[in-house]
Amino acid sequence: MHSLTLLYKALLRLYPQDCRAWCAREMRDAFQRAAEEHRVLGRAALVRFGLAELSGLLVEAGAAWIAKVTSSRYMRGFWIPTTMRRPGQSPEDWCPPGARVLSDVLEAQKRVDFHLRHMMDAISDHDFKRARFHSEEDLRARNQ
Amino acid sequence: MRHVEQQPEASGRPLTESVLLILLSLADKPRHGYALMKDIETLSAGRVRMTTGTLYGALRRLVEDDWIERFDQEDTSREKQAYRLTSVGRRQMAAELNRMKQLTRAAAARLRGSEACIP
Repeated sequence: MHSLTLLYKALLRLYPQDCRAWCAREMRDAFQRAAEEHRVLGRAALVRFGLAELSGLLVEAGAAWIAKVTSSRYMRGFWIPTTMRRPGQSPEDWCPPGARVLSDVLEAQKRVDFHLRHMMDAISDHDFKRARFHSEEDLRARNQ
Repeated sequence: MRHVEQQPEASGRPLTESVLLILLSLADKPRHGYALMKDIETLSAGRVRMTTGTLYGALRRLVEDDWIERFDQEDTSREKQAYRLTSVGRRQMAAELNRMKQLTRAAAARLRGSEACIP
């Protein structure tokens, strides 16, 4: 494996664990393909690409940590990373019963937040038809 | 082309360019990460080249906000996970494009007016 890819892989560890579980593999694959493409363009192009990617990775890893610490929505969505379903794994194989209930609650909470947010936006825009729609959806989500 | 935290949920506000480009790229068909990077470069005529960090940061937030969704691709390509627009994302994109059209019309009208005033 190329040293740039190894460095990239090492820097991916700077991300919070839940982020890594979500997309580290995909990021690495996309990076490898882009790196292969730049490699044929010459050393200068590869160095420029590498610098942009690695600095972008550092910035985004910092941003992910800030989001993790400051955003309650983030915490709600990701606070038990071990319950995240792997690609290709069916929901039945994935969740232990307790975690399933927790996951449903988190999902319902997410829907409630979503409709509440959009209802407030609609009211501030004086779009009462849209506000009513989100209000009804909010009620439905709460009753589920 | 930086962090887009909170942008997706700010309905009614202009989208960042990176978010708009991602939505536009997914408008015609689902794509995986690398294909998105390439398509965004093409869409912006080479002006915007998103790094993987920026792209996946934005994708994660858009998935959280239900503007796009991730799914397993059926084919045997290198990337198994792909992204597609949800109805919410499509509506937000349409709203943003309408906003831009309105702005363009207003700007064109203003420019025509100013040219007419030149002696």
